[in-house]
Amino acid sequence: MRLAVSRLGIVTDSTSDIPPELAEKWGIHVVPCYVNFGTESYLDQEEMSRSEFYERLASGGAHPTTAAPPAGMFAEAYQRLLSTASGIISIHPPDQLSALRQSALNGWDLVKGAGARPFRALDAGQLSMGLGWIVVRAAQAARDGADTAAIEKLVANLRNRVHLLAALDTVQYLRLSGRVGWARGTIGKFLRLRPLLRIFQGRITSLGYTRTRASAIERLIIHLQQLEEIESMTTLYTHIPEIADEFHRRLSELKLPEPVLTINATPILGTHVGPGGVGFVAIQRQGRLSS
Amino acid sequence: MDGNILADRPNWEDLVTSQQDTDRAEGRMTQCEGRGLKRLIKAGLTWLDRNHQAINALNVFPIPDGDTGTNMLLTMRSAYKEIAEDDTNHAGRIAQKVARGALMGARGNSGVILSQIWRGFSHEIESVEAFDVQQFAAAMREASDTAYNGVVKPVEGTILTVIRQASEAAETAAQSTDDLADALDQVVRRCHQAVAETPQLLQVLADAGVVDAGGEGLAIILEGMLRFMNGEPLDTALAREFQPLDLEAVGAAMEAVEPGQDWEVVVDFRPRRELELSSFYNRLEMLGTSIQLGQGDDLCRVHIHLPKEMRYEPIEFVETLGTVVNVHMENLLDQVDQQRGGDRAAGPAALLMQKQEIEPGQIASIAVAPGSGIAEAFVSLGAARIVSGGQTMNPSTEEIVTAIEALDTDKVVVLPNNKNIVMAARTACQVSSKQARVVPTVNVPQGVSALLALEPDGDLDAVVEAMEAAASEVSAGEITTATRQVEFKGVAVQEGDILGLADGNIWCAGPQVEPVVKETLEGMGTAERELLTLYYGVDTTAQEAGEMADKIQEWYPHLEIEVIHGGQPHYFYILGAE
Repeated sequence: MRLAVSRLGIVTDSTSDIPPELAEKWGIHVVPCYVNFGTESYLDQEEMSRSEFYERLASGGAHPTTAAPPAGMFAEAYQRLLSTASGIISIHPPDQLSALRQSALNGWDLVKGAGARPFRALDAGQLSMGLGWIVVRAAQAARDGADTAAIEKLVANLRNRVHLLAALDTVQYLRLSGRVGWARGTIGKFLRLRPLLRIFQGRITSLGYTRTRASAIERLIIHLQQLEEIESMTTLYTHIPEIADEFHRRLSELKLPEPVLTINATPILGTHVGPGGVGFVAIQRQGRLSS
Repeated sequence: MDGNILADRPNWEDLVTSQQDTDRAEGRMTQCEGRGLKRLIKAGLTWLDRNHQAINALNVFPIPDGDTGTNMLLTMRSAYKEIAEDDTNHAGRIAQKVARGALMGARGNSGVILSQIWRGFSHEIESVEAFDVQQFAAAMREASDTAYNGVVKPVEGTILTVIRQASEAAETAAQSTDDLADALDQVVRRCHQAVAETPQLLQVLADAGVVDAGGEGLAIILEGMLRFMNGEPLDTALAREFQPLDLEAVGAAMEAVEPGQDWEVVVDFRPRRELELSSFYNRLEMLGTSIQLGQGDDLCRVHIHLPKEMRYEPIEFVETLGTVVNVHMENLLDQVDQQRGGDRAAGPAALLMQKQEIEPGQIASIAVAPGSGIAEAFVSLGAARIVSGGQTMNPSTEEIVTAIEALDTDKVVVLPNNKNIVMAARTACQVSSKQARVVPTVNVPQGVSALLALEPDGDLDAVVEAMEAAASEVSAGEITTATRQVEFKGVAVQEGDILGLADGNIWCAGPQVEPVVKETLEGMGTAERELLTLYYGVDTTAQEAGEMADKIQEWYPHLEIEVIHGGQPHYFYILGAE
């Protein structure tokens, strides 16, 4: 006997940073990415913990690289889901920053009889919980019976309402990653340079730099206050929870809303930003244009 | 700085002959036409030229400073250049051209205000072919008003007070005479009186025991015009006191190399008789720049930068005055290259080429930098252009305008990084056709902080606001050598002392660098800070800077310290605490 095929399956990758319990609650399938140290390769979260990763990152040695899961891993996930789902929505980081969405599309091509059910691989224009919350909301909509067109529309709408801002402890990792053009020019004089950046609608832009951690947090707060009508806020950090605590202390001193979640960001991002970063994902209310 | 300050010196002889066909009749002059005005301006310029060293000596702080006399002279030279070849007899048109030339050539705050004075003057008589005393008085009033309006917070006891009093004197004179020479005589008298009173209006002048240099410069220009009208000579300088630098200090500070002035020559000599300083300086200024003179017991040392082909001329000149004892010659460009690891391609020109790519519509920044290392630091932080200049070399409005116009975007922020350059930067932004703004940074650490806060894709007004806020968060210290003795706000400073400035104020002085650094750091409130950046100057070695950083770490164990090669002249260290 077959179960009724009623709902769309929601898939993402581990750059979304969705906590396992949340993924489980909303039936989201998360395909892990790879972190490579030299010739050793580890599956994100499954084969290497976050603290292990950051300790190795900070210890010097070979700089890690990251890799999208092979198309076969997506194919496997899609195949499995198709036994219960009416179609699949796979949601990923921006194309400019990663090959994940391409890998997902290739995976779908490998699925037998793929043409029979609807499939979309969407660019959320976001990373970490910026991507994560878009995926969770898509999963909620899917549970309520939304079709592919409705979810596509929802994701496009959220792209304009979700902001990720971060203050990194150093520009070094960003420079090594080579993915952000403006980080390349800063080689030279100053050792202590903390970049601030914004991810919005698929673009990473520079918000300048600070030289001290205290002023980095102040600048994040100023930007947070400039975003009008925030519906929910999530704190991100890389490896050092005390920095998130410092950020939270300033939030409460200024009587700003508390975060709904605090996340130690995935090593996939950590490779490119390094330890000691702090930031937030803010979702603005429906019906307002981004600032 | 202009390669040869006196390159197109007005010729006094020329003035004398042309005086014979002035509009003066029977010793009176009721109308001034264009050619007459041109001669007056030339006379003012000539007299300023003869006396600018004395104006330079009127420094408030005993630190190497943007020389007001030189700045005003260069501004007037640029003004006169606009009319040098012009034969029109329309006074209004001459005045307008002079105003434009002054505006573009304006250097230093006094130069900028001087250009405002010309702007106001020319505006009032723009349609007048020949002006009389009434119109002269009205033009002086407009000149004064324009000068005041050009300053955000006018301060009395400066050139502003002098131009206002001059305009009042002109108005009074216009009620009783129709002779321009008579009116100008009253104006000049009042100017000198106003200059003498500046210390009563401005405490810093009284503390330093000097009159206001910019006010004195204006009085000198007007006095030159009056001397010309009265047929008095313009080729002798007024007897004024010079303050030659300490022998030891001469040549110790290598300034940034001015274009074409790439040889440094230092000559020690024993003069046969006491030097006639004004003619000595004048002769040297025909040869080169960065001129310094030191006098010991019976020995003099002269330091000058000049082009290669002229490098033997100072020796020949000095030989006419006495016995040459020692000569030192150095190719500065080669020296600069050596500092960069001998890589010719990494010279100053290459530095400008390295600028970050700016897309149209993005906000670009221009930073004024006093040393090669500081210029590199600004470039590494994303400055799109560097204008070289600082404490003793103030760039002109035109240099800043050129930098603004050269950028591929129309949104530009200028960081002057020195209080003497803020006004020229503001004028440059007004003159520019682009959306250009000044973030009025007054030192290098402020400039760095401001630049860090630049969001290339942000809204210009919001970005300027954020940059200003960032600049105000950093506390700055400067360690230099006192150029003379002074008692300043309770700090007794001896000539040659190491001097510590905290946020622009004289904070402490003493014979040793280390205790002065320590006390200055206290004045900066370093205990409350997280990060200290130490920019060491051209006279400080990397090792000395490293040892100083170790000391600071002992005094402030919690502090993160970063040592940067600044390469700035005159300042052993520039400190930024944040």
